Order: sequence, then C-alpha cells, then structure tokens
Amino acid sequence: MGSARRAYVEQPDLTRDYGAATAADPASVAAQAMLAAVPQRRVEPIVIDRLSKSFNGKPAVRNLSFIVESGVVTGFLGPNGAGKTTTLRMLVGLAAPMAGSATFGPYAYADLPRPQQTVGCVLEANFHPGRTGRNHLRVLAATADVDDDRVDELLELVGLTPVATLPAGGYSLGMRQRLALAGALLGDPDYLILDEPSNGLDPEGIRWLRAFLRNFAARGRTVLMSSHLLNEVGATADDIVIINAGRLVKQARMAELGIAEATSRARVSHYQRAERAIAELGAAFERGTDEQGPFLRVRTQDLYVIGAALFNANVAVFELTREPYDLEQQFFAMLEASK
Amino acid sequence: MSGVLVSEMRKIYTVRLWWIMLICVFLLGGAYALVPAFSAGLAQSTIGDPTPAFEVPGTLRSIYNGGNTLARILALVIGILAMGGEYRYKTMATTYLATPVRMRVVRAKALSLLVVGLLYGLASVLAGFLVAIPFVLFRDGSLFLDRGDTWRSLILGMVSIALWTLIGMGLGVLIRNMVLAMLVGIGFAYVVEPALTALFFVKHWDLGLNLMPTGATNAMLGVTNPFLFAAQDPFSWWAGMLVLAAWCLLPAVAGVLITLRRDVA
Repeated sequence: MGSARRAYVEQPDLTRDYGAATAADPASVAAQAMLAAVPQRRVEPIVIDRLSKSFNGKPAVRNLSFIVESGVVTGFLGPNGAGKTTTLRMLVGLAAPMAGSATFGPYAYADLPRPQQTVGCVLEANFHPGRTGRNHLRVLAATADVDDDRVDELLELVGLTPVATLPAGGYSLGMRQRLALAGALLGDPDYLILDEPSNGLDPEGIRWLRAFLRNFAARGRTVLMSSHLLNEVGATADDIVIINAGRLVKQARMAELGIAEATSRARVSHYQRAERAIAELGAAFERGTDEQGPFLRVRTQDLYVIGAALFNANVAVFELTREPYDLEQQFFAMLEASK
Repeated sequence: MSGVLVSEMRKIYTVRLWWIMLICVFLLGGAYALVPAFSAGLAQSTIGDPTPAFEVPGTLRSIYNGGNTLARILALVIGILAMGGEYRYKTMATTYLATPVRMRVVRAKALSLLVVGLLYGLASVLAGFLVAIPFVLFRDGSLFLDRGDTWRSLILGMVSIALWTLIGMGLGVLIRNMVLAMLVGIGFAYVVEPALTALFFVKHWDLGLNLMPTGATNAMLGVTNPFLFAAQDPFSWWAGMLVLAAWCLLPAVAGVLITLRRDVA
C-alpha cells in the first residue's frame, strides 16, 4: 500500500518503514498502474487555524490548529466530548467559531461556489422518516445539479437499491449511514468529511468503507474522518490528529506513530558492549529479563540499524525481533499525558 | 427554476402530508362553506328579506370563502412544518450543507410554500363554489360570475391562504421548536386573536379590528362574517392584503434577525 500512496520511505533512518511494499512488488506495480488510469485531482489542504468555541462558557474547542493534507486519509481522534464533532461542524459552517477559522484552501464553507461538488459530509445520519431513500437523494440532487441517473448510481454503489423506494424511517442504522454517504457523494466532491462513520456499520460495511476511502484519497482527494478509537482508523488513515478537551494533543503520520514509540528486543553475547553501541545510535534502551533470560529493549524497530551496530561492536546476536506494538494503548497513554 | 427551489418543492411533494392536507382543505372547507349557505337559506325563508339572500353578491362571496377560516389554519400548519420539520427531524444540517447561504433556503421555502398555499386556496374556494351551486339553483339566485368583485374575492381567497402559509413559515423560522411554534400559531389563531378581536369590538376600535389577521383577511375577501366581530368600516381589499403581508413578515424578519444564524444541531 505504501508506495502507491505517499512515500513514507523517504523518512530519516530511525523512522524508515522497511515493512512497506517496494516498487518491485508485482501487486504494488499493478495497483500503481490502476491508479494512474484514474484522474488525479489537485485539492488544497483543509486549514484549521486557532479555532475556538465554547458552549455556555464551557470551552469545547480551544485554540485548535492543524492542517489536513490532500491525497490522504486523516483520522481525527479523541475521546467522546473532545470537541471533534464541534470542530467538524465549524468547518462546514453549521456552527460559528468564536475565534479562528476553518477553511478548505482559501474558502470558508459558506463561500464555496459549489459546496456539494466540493465537500461531501457524513455527519449525523438524519432523514425525514416519511421520505424514501431515493427521494431524499433527489432532494439533494436538485442543489447538487445532478440528475436521477446519478441518484440511482449512488444507491447502487452503497447497496441501497432494494430499499430505495421505502421510507427512510424504517432504515437500520447501517442503512442510514449508507444513505448519508450516498448523499455526500452525489456531487462527486473533492473532500469527504465523516463523523464517526463506523457507527452502526456491520464489519462488512466497515471493510467496504475503508476500501472506498482509501481509493477516494488515492485519487488526490482529501478524507477527514473522526473516531474515538485509534484502531478503527488505524487501518485506513495515513495521518492522525489527536485532540483532547478541545486541544491538539498530537498530529503525526500513522507510520511514524507506530515506529517512534515501538520497540525491538535483542539477545546478545555481551550486554555492556551492546548498550554502548546502541547509545551511540542515539536510541533509547533498557535492560530486561524474562523466562528466556536477559534481553535488551531498544526504542526503534529499525532492525537493520541495530543489527549493523551490534555487528560493528563485535557482539554476537542470538535474537533480534520487533516487539508487537499496541497503537490503542499508545493512544490512551497520549490522552492520559495530555490531561 | 433554481436548484434550491426545485429541492424545496421536492421536499414538499415527496412526503404525503401535503396531499392529505389538500384533501382536508377541500372536504372540510366544503363543510365549512355549508354554514353561510344554510344560514343564508334560513334567513331567506324565515325573515323574508325584500332582497333574497342568494341575490346578494356578498352572500355568495361568503359561501365561496366559507372554507377560508379552516383552510388558513391548515395553511398555517403546513408553513410551520416546512421549517419546523427540518429542525424536528434534524435535516436542517443537510439542507444548509447543500445551501450554506441560509437566506437562500428561506427564500426558496417561501416561494415553494406560496405555490402550495395557492393550491390550498384553490381547493378551498373550489369547495365553496361547488357548495354554492345547488343552493343557487334551488333558491333561484345567481352565482354572480359576471361581477368583477366576485372574481376578485375568489382570487384573493386563494392569495389569502397563500399568505397564511407564509405566516406559518415565519413562525417556523423564529421558533425553532416545531411543537412550540405550532402551539403559538394555533393558540394565536384560536385564542389570542378572537380575544383581542372581541375586546376591540366592545371598545369600538375599528383600526384594531382591521389590523388583526382575520380582519385583514375578511377585508381581502370582501366578506363580513356574521359569527365574528367585524369592523364597522373595514379596510379596502388591497389594504387588507398589505396588513396580512405584514403579518407574514413580522415573525419571518424577527426569525432571520434572531434565530436563523444560530448553530444547527
């Protein structure tokens, strides 16, 4: 996946992702060829600039700034009540910021000449219960300047064709999410904003959505999706923005996030010599012992660098392995630290 | 037609409420028209007026617009629902995402409701007209279709219903809680206004009577409802129309100034 999207492999040594597919990988080459056939778009980044808002004196978003780059999926993370939904609502003009701004390139949402053709939003999935799914889309089609064929095309895409002529009041939560997504996509937008899109989707629906979003972003477009679970966006997002209590906690590339804090384990012949060599690399380390004996835990997963350093230090290596890494745990640790 | 207007029209006709209400306006409006028709018939047979009631143009105007008092309430309700329903079902966010300039939504809703209101008005006067025919035939009177003021009353009957739709929409803009807007609207029409009208009537304050929505509507129709307190010297039809238009603008302008810009849930 890595080479078909943004090239994370060009990062400095310690964050190098050797696990990513190389260009020589046949599957990757095929994917690249496929993507090359799809028209690429130039989409400007979303700029959140010193955004603030409070409700009844209680701050919800405080001086929040970050940039959402185009051509990638950005996960917008934080616990419930962190200010994610409020931020997204300010971005699309449903709520007014008290200070700061949120724009698509230079445009505030209300100033976009063709909003539905520029930004698709999947916020809360609400519909008039007596209107059919198809008619809901036809209401939106009128302002998006698209015809009924496009409506039927999208019903097909999200798999709602069989229930299209039934009142939306009888739809399940998953069907409502799909209908909301279809509505957001009517105008073939450059940006897709999703608020907790996995809510109510079954595992198959989530898999489908992930694949769809990756494909959408791969064509140069921008996806910003919120979630309160890192694991939920972990499989989809390239970048993550974490907020807590209305403030920015961290913005990072997903690949870096995993690697910066992740560790490797080494069992060697001479621990003091090994520690000196690792210290020279500038990587943090600690010594530990488990049932198999002593080991050295190093704060990087770059086995090539560690292996080479140990070799140069004349140390025999018995085991050198990346330790499994729990992103969710790190996410919660960061939230804890931000309090 | 602009996309927003098409969108708003589609919102109305893709939910069955509008035609259920249309049937109500027609059937109940017809039933309401029976009241002035029978009372005119009764007056003619008992009092024995020198001029039989069905030969007085004003009688026929009352019958044609007999459904107006009911149709205007249903028009008010559909106007409130057009705006309030979007808050109630939380679809306003989707609406504003499609059309972020909120005034454009308000304008398109008003235009689409004007069309619906005229349709309801047509159903109302048509029902009144159909009711009048057998009475006129039986009593040997006239439908007065050769008179300009009859046609004016029919057309302004339709226009008045359309204006009442807009009063409802204005209330829906101002009061974002649909149920509350409904209570305020219907409460005003059935409690507050009759009370004020009675007060003004007792105090012989004609201007007050003429400035009430009902007084303004009656001035437009050229009728004096014998069951309600009417002004001695009613406004002309165009002055009545201006007063009713002002009643549309009052809540709408207040809503645009006060509540329209607020955050949408």
